[in-house]
Amino acid sequence: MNADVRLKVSGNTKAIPVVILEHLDFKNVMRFKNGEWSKTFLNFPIDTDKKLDFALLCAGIPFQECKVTVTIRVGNKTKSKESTDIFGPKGWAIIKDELKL
Amino acid sequence: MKKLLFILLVIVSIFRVNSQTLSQTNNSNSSLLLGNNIDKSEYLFDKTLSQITNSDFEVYIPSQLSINVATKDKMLTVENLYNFQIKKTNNFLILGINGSGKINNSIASILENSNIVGGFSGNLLLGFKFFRIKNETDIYNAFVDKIKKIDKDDKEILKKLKQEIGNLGQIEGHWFYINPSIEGRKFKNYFPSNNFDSQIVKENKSLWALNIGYNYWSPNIYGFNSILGVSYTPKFTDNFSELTEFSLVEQQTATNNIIQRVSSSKTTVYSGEYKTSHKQDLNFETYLVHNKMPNFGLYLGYLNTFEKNIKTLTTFSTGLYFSKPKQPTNPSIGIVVNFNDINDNFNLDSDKKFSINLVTRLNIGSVFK
Repeated sequence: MNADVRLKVSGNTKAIPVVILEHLDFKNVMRFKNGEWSKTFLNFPIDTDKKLDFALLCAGIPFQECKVTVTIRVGNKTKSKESTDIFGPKGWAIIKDELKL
Repeated sequence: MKKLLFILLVIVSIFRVNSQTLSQTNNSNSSLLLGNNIDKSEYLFDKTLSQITNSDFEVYIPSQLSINVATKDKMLTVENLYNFQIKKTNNFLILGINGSGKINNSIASILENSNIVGGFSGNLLLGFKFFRIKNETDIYNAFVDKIKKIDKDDKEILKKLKQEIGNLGQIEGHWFYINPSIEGRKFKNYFPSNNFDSQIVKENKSLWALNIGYNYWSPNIYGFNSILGVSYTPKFTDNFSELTEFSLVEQQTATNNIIQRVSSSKTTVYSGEYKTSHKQDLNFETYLVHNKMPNFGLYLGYLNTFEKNIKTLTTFSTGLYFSKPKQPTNPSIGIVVNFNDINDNFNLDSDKKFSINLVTRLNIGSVFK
């Protein structure tokens, strides 16, 4: 099954070197615009388990919060999920979560 | 007009009870994309194919104008900062346009006679900001290799992976900028020993500065989240802060044989010799937040002011800032102690050698918001 997927990451994030969706990894794929990072994948293949696994590696200012919003659309139905992590002492935050269809 | 400004000040003071500035969000940066390399899938996500026309791909509207109000500085600032990301990199071009209105006289004199001595300032910011990740390829490989095997609820293992990646390398930020500014000064200079007609001189001056600088940010240097900065500023400035503020009462008397009318008006004036001069500042600053105490920031500043035919004035500043949780580089308030003329070039009085200021904003940190 294919779905449209949109990722948004809070603007306090300074760099997003890796994005993983299902089993595919993307290097520096996010774009910064209107104060936040964003990327849309159209017709993205979703595994048969009917959930989208996602993981992001983000860099930012320690102790600030990194917020990731994932929106998925199949046909006319849209579903969204927000995941957060705090940037660690060395500036890294890891978001790993899943969104059930 | 004066009454309106006074009402504004009162409103601002009320807002201040709850917040230091009206705008303290991370979203005060807005952005535009450079060129026509706009991602079409963004639009396809929002619209069905049939609705899309060519014009949909050309416009991105920048937003988020921020308004800062600092009651301590009696200043209202309108700021807008745009980050232009350069295609698929962590490099940004920066364009900022700021304007502000400032009230120069003391709160006491405003409350007493609603008399406002105002000024304006405006500045333009042009910059280049970029972020580098050391050992990015190793970090990429380690993350891709390990994250797939970790369960999303296993917080401890995720924390360990974060540390492991931190040991491989970390991010660092660099920012170069040029920041021309102009300031208007308008007030009445008062000379009590002059002839009556020349006691009050109206001053109306335009001052300018050109600030050129470089900042470096690292999330962890020996446990400190650190911002280091150096800047050079040639400027045309004045000594307004050294003048003494007075409230002057003027009375007019009109009389016939029966009634005597007395009307009075109050005005704020400044006494002292008003001077303008060309100076150059060379400023080294650092702001450090330790990992174990993220709500406290330490500020250190070393400022040299050069002026032609006059010895160099050196000021050392140190400060303690307090910030909200999750906002280590965006402190709410700080106490800064200044040690003026540490080389004893000017034989300053003891009360001028040392000063303590309550400050509401950290200029050096604002660039990495």
